[in-house]
Amino acid sequence: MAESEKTARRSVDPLTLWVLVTVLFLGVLILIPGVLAPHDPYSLEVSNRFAPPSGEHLFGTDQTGRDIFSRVIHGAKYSIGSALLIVGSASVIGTIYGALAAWYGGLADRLLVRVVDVFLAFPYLIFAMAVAASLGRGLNSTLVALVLLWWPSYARMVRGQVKSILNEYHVMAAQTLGAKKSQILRWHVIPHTYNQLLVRFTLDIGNALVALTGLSFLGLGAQPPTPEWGRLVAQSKQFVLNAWWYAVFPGVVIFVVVLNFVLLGDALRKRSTS
Amino acid sequence: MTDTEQDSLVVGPEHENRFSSGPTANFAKGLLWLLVVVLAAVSLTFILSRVIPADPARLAAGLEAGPDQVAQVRQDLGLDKPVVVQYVNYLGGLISGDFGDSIRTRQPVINDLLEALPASLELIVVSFTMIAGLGILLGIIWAYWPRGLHSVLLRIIAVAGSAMPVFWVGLLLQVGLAANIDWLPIAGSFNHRKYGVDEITGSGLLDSLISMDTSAIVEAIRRLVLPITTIVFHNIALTMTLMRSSMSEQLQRPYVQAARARGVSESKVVTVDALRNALNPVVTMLGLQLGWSLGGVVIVEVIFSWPGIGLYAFSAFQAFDYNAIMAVTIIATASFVLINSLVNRIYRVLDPRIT
Repeated sequence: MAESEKTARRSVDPLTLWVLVTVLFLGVLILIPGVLAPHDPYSLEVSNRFAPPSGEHLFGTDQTGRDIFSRVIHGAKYSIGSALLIVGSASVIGTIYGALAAWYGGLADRLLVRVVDVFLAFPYLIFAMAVAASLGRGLNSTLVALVLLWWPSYARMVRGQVKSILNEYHVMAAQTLGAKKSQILRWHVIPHTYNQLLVRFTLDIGNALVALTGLSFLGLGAQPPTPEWGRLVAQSKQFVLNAWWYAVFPGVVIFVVVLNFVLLGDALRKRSTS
Repeated sequence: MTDTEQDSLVVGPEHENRFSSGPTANFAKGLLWLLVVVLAAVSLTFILSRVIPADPARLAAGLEAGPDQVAQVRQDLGLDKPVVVQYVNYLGGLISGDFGDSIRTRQPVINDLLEALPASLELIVVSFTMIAGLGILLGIIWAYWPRGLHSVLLRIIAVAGSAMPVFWVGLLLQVGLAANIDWLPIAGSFNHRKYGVDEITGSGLLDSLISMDTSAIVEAIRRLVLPITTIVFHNIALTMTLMRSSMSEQLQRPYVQAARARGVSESKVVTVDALRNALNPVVTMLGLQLGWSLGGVVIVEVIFSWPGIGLYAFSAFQAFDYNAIMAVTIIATASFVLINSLVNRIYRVLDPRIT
């Protein structure tokens, strides 16, 4: 059993390969979209409006003759980039907050947990609308709103984990050896939360993408002519009757990317628990 | 922000029960918690509404108003007073159910909300019933017969349903079932006047049922099909998968084996013995989903032009109608907290081991 596991590890591990391919592909999409996009995402060609999908225009063209395929590729940096930013900021803020709450314990902990509970009780979509209405429309205010609503779930998760890790022998050993509190937290506790954090992070990129595109579908996020994915689907709404490809393809791309992160997160979870 | 972890499913102060003593104390604590959360929501949205880039008085007065009129409106709305005074006034109004007037509809916000509520409730009640009923049923089937074609199908539905953005599902249904082959109405809710149905409850389905007019009932149902399908498809995954894992865990427990050994029929073992224990986590999760539903229907209402609270919030947002936005935020938050504390009560009835 142990022998066969060893040989399996030496060959290429499919999960690692999957992560690498995903990161590489999205990296190209976000950093150098021009390499993959056949057309300029902003150039209008009104004579060629609503062209159905073809070899020249894989996803067809929109109401001003722009190539939807190229727009989707250039939109990745707004959609996926924002999702990464949201989950990244939320996990950093949440980790620090949760770790501190668990570390101090007592009254401070109870107060900090209450704050988290209050935030978790806000309906995110409506609250994000309220934030976007006051900060003004645009990608930035939507990002602020989503980070504001996303960090508490990380805080709660990390707090629970830190609490249980603090009871483990290696922490007691470090305490006995006279390590400083901050050192223990930084070197003996937080690293042990990374495993679950990574699983959650991966799953949440998909969730954040759904939330973000949903908000920009409502007109809260990026403003035209930015080819943000939710925005693309929103614009397609009024042309549903004469250009089905406009609504279908950008949605397929969102779906496939979210699906990728959901399945990847599941695979990571299975590995970390087995 | 869907929490699937068991430990994070319990929201509110209920998860620390060290100090609870009896149902009265629990009730008082629940009420206090409701007050705290709503006050936080009010304060946050109030602060946000005062940093609005657009001048509310300017918006309320209309485009043609001169500076004098704008000043007059500002005074009428109390916007010239210090922010603290405005805050206290707003809180005072809330206690008597006064959310202020809407800039857009020029009516008290509370009237607008009451008008929009039945349409949203109709969507929520019908879809939630289907999510709970179908989700639990499919979850049981999936757990009891884990292999076969149906399990592949259910897995696809579970994964696709949660990974497909809800607005895209709605659009696809419109493209597929309404736009090209005219089977179902593409958008809009039941029109009372067109079918001569009295508006008693405000819900098209209920009113047409009361009127006993078959064509009206059929029309009301046809209107519901696409929005309901969208909501159910998107939300059923969680219930179904949680029910499956909870049920298959229970089916392996010794008490199930014992019941089988005693000769209890299979259907009884599943539906009576195992189901009661398996339902616990599902009920909590359904409670959370129900709590979120008021916020969750926004996108569906916008796609299908369904005149409920979500569409109202959306129009309010577009017009910077801050009183309306605040009111919807407060109500959605309060309903979330209320529903959750109610679900916690139900949870205790289902499983008396939980104190």
